[in-house]
Amino acid sequence: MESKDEGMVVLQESGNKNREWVSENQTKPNLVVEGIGIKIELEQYPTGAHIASRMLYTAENSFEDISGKVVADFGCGCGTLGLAATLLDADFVFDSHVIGVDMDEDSLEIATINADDLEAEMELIQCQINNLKWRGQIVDTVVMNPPFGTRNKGADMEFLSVALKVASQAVYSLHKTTTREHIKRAALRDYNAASAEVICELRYDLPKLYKFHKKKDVDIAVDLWRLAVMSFCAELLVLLHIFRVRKSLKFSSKCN
Amino acid sequence: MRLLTHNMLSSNIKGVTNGFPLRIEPETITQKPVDFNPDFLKNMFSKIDWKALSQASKIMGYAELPEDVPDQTVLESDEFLKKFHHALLEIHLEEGVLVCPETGRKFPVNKGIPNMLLHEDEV
Repeated sequence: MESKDEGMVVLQESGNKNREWVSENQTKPNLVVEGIGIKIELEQYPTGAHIASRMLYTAENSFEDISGKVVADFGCGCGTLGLAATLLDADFVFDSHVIGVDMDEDSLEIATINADDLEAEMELIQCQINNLKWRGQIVDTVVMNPPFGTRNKGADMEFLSVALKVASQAVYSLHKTTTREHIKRAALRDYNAASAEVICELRYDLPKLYKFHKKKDVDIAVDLWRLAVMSFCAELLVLLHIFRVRKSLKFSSKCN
Repeated sequence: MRLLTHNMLSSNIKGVTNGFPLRIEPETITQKPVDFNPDFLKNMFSKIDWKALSQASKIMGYAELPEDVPDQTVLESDEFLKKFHHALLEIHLEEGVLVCPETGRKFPVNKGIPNMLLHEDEV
């Protein structure tokens, strides 16, 4: 088991757990997330307002990845994360330009209603993430709460791989804590991320939504990741480094 | 759909090698004001495919952008930046279709949302 990353914030200490949830329920804005035909094949689970605001606030305050940027929300559903990104603007000078992508028409319709209610501007595209093809890296930052890949195996990794291709700066994503090692390895080794860090550990309050849910509510441990995208310069430096190491290895083998 | 979004959308039908830019066939066009941010535009300038933007903008009824890629020095001109800003962020395709340049397949745009879902035999 990997030791906890330095600087990781555990947002919910066990002592005030109950209080935390009470406060979340109170601060939930009137976004429509319930009462629609939720689709299990798409692993649709609403993103809590608390998690959304923490995610976007950290992205902006610690890393300046939101305001004045082009932000994509992958699997945007009802638009919670993307809309949270546009709402951050109230505190900052610059608008961010948010593009939500989802394959589900009903979700996109609700996202439109939510955006109108909040008087927020959010672009929407109906598309399956694994079929997405965007020219270049116009998007700076991708924020997403992907399917956990529990029912649809590998869906989480598909989202991650596409996100790291289209973003020029960073990807923020939520994944089950149990998949931490796997995410880190895949991101760095297979998807070319420059760095992969868990920036905080959260409790995902999953209400009983589907018939197969046995318990009333479940808390799932979830990691909020920040994956930095390898810039062209960084990539060159890495290649140069490998080249040098190889050269010195050849040199030393000759000496021997 | 803004032209910023159009500038990155590509047709991803199986076998298509050049799915960009999608040809716009507009039905309804709207305009929504956006705050002017010169730094954002200067940053976007290098990322944008200029020809695709100027052509799309023309089809959408705004022919103020130069057809060929302008020199970097234009970024000093507020007048230019304002035109760029308008074309990139304020013009919306509300209803219409996007056409794949290679196959002619039409992707509908309804209520400003392009439907890029592929059929089973296109994946």
